Amino acid sequence: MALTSWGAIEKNGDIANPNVGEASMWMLIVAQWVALLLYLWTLVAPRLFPDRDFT
Amino acid sequence: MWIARVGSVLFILLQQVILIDIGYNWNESWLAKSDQAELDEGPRKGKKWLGAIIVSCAILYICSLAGIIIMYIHFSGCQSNNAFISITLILSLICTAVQLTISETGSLLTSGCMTIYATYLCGAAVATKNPLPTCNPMLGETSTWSIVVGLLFALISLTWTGFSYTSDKRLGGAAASGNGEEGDVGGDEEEPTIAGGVVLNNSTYGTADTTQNHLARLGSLMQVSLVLVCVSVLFDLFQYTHSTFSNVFDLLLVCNGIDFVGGY
Repeated sequence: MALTSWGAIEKNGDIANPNVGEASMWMLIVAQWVALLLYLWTLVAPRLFPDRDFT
Repeated sequence: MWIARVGSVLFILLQQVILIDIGYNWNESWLAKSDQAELDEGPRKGKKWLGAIIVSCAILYICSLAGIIIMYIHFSGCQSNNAFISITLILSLICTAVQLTISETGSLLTSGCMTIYATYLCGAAVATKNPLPTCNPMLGETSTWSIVVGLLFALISLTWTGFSYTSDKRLGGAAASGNGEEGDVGGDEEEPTIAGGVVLNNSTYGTADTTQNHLARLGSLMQVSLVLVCVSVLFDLFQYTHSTFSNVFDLLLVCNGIDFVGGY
């Protein structure tokens, strides 16, 4: 997916350097947000649901 | 094309869950080692493992901080980059603060892992992906570092997946009992042998012949990695056959599969 700039290579045009592009950039940024929110969830979930077994 | 996109997003999510799992298990493994050292060698002998945890935390946080400072110096030319870097900093700080105050399960080592991962993602985004020349002074240069770091993260998570799938008694099962300060992991169980964060004496392969044990594990590890790479190549095949831009990079398909797991 990185090589095709998430399928948006024809819009951004640059075949020589398909890695650069809005789509790739936003994928990384959103991936970062999702990763940190996932981690945050693993931290607060046991507190929010004390009865549930998280093992 | 959308099959490839959706599949790849699922794939990234999988990789992130694995990374969080690694963060938790790393801490637990070293806490267990500390406890074991106290049991075997007497009191206060487990301190060196606790020290190792603290040193690792310090390294992770110092590297993250350095990365964020470098990004602020070199890539703060425009608003989008500023926003990305600031969000990285704030989200990482929130995670660490929540872990230190509210959470019962987390540890500083896990937070450090997530912070450095977030910093890497932000750095890769602003330094290698941003298409605006005003925002990105490094535009057009090949960025070896982001590929190397990306492959490193992929290698770690692939190895971990292989290992944890092949050991039937996962350390992850005790994830919730890992309290950063208490450190009672492995104390009430039947003391499994722990090596590199992985429970070794599983019943499938037996404990007698360690060479055979390792070979079997290595085999499964390679199989899991192969399956993961094949699946990602499959997603890319969908991508190529369904997009207007096809048959150009056919030879690069395999590279793309590997590269995708590593650097998206």
